[in-house]
Amino acid sequence: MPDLSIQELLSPELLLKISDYSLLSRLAVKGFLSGIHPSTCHGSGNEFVQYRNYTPGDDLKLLDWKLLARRNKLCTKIFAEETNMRCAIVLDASASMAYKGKNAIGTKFHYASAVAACLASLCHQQIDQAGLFIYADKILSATPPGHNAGNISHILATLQNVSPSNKANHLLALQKIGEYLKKRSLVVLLTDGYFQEKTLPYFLKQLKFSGHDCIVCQILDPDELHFPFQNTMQFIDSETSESRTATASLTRDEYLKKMNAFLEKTRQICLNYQADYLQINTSQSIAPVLTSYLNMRGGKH
Amino acid sequence: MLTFAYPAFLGALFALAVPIILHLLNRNHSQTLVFPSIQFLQKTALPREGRRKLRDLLLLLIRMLLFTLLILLLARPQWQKKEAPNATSSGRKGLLFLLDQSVSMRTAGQRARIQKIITEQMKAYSDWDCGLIGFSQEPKIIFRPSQKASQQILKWANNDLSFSFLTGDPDSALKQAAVLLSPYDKKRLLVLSDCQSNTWKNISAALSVDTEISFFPKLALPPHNAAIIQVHSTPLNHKKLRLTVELQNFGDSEENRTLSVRLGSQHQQQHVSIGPQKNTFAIFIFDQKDILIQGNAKLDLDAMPFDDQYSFWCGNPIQQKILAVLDDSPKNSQASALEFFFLQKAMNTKTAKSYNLFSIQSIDSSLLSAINLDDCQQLFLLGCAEHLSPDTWQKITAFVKQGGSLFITPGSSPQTALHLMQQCGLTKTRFLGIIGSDSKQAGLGLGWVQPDSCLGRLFTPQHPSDLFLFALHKYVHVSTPNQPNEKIILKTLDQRPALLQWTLEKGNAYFFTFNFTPQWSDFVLSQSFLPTINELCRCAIGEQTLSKKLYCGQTPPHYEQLNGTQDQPDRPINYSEPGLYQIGAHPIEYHIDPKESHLEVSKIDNLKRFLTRGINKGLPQAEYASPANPPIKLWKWTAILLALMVLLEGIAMTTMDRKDTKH
Repeated sequence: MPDLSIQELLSPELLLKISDYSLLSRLAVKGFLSGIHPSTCHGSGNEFVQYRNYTPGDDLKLLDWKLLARRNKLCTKIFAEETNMRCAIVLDASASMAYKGKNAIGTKFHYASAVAACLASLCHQQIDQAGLFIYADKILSATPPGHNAGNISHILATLQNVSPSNKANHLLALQKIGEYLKKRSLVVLLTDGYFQEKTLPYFLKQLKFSGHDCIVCQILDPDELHFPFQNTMQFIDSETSESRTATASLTRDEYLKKMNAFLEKTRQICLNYQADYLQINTSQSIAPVLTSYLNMRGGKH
Repeated sequence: MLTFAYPAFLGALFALAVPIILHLLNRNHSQTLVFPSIQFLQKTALPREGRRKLRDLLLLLIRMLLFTLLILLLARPQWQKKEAPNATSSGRKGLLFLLDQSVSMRTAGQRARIQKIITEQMKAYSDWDCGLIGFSQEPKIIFRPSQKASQQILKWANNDLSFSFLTGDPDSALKQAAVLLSPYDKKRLLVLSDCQSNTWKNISAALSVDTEISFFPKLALPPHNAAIIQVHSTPLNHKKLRLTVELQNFGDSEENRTLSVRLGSQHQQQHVSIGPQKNTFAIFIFDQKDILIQGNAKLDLDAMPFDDQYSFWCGNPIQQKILAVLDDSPKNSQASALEFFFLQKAMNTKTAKSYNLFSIQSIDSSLLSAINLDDCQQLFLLGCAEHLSPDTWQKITAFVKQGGSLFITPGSSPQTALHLMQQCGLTKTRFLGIIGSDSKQAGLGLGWVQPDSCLGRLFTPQHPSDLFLFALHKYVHVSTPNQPNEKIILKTLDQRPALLQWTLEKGNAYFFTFNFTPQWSDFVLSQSFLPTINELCRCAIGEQTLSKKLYCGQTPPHYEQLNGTQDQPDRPINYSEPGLYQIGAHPIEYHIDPKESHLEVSKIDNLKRFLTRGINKGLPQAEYASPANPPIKLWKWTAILLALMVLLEGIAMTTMDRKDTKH
């Protein structure tokens, strides 16, 4: 399959398909614009939450006059406030993301970029603040979530200009990103997930304690999932440049066994830290993958 | 020392480089892949791959060895022991000239070339024992190899070198050469021949492998040659002769030549054009001034002059004598005379205008016993068969057995005649009656001709009316022959024999069931009579040509008269040269065999290979010249090794397949 660029992956048809969905934060976020996400603040929302006793200084317009008439008791109505969300898209741009198998639509990085662009576009559409962090051995690009009009354009331009290279230093990069996100946000991690053993739990734990909502998208090529090779080949690690000669037909079973165990372990870690886990195969079209996930997450208008 | 019978096959060993080159070209093309992460890949494939490589290498070696052995087998290896210095070996060197003396060597300048070659070679091999064998149809040892013969050969080549008019056959000469050279340690055969393929195509003798053979391309045939193949003369009306001269061009370019024909004092000339590799005919008309004349045809001479002249006989073929025996009994003499009248008329028609092959005479039956039948070829018994004595019949039977032809017509008593013929052993046909003796059965006709008889050829089925349109009033009814030497030539409409042929040794007897009078049939009055009788008589004497044409070297024929005496030639016949002779009244022509005029040449390399291939057909082993140390043939061992390699390859393949299946 030809390697498609972001522009080609991010087609108007795709944007139209996902425009029916919204990216909802499961946790209450603290925005200062009214939006569709639950806020940690109560006040001017439309949804009634509870009554509380009137205390002097409360706005008299929140006083429930009908209740005062029935029960002769001063009660104030409390409404859940709906606000906008901060969404931080974290994109892995290590060398391993540059791989493209025969059956893939594009490289893993291009695929992840397209997903990131879709999500950023969706956030922009629902007046959320979208930010983009790209990392490899260090932070390559950091666009904090913002709501100004040029933010989405900047994100898309950044996605086009970055190309995957170098060995990923997940721990360092994710620590720094964690430090960037002071307010509650939705963190979408787009990576192939070849972390060191304790990196992902540490990162997810840090995010959870900071009150962030997290989605882990593990983007993998069909070649990594099925290992369809036959001959004896020399495999070179894209990040470490280490080479290993192996007869694919002989080592396939062992490889698949280890790979499946790794995927299962990653999924289990995500579950433990209440993060969404989404495994994406780059041979699939982006639209059905995203729409099914967003649908499952409950964001259909 | 290892030698090969067919070393050219060793060139195929270069093909062994092909798999190695392919391997070298492909070795750097191992497939590499930059993979996202190899942390889940194991290195387990490497040791297995190594084993596989080793097995592949082993298999490659086996197959290359197999291919090498196959090539060696084709090249026929042999081990030639080095000739150890032998006390008994004299180290003698023998040189033998094999001189082709066939007529094709009579080309212009060939003699001088051969003389020059012999002189040069004698100088070059002055210390060798030299000998010379000449051959045409038969080999002739002119000089046995010896040191003394060298000077004699030179002298002979300068003074007595000659060529025959015969075809060449080198086979026997080669066998003799092998025998003559066998005592020598170093053998050399110098073949002085034009290598004409007709001469060299049927050789079977072979020389020993250590004989060095040299041919001389200088002696090649010229590129152009046209020849007179043969001349036929045909007598025409008004004492004219037609001569047909057949010419052939053996070259690859058109020949424009002048053909002159001389016949007695007459001379004619024509310009002829003969296409490449084509035959053509030139026709001449001459006045026939004599019964038998010698003629000569001549083309303007080319590089092969021997076939440009052709002497021939022309004139009338010898007349065949026919004796008609008439019945002299008063009762039947008139009918018999009438039969003779019609017969004479049939045989002598147009005598005045054209040449007649037959001359007919008549005698009375009572005189037949006293007549010598030796000088006649055909005998007609016209209705007189029953009046001949048994002794006369014995005489007639002997005449037939010696090659004479007998024609019998029924007379007054065909029953008696057939009885006499049965007694003398001429036939076994039985008399059954006479059909048409009463008026009721009159009006029958002929209805069937034996297709493969002489009359069958004359009266074709397409034109049966030629013979059929006459009435048969009366005929003798005889039994249908059941003997292999008896057959029916003509049948009546009611499928009964009308003319029977009885073959007796060299001759034939023909029995008509009706005679040649109008009382019996209208046959004599019809147009069929003359051709039927003429054709029967011609068939009886066979194909008659004027002269017998023979090639030089063929023995002359014997002509015997019926009395057993043999005709003698007019002068002693030298049948190894062209010439014209007469044996008795029979003209004989001797010509050069046209095979010698062909320009096709055998390839010298092929001849050398064929001559030294080591096969000694028709020659006893002891007599055959063989090298002192015959080479040990190794092809059997090579074949065994090859078979072993095939087996090994099969085992290796099976083992590998099994291991691969396990994995």
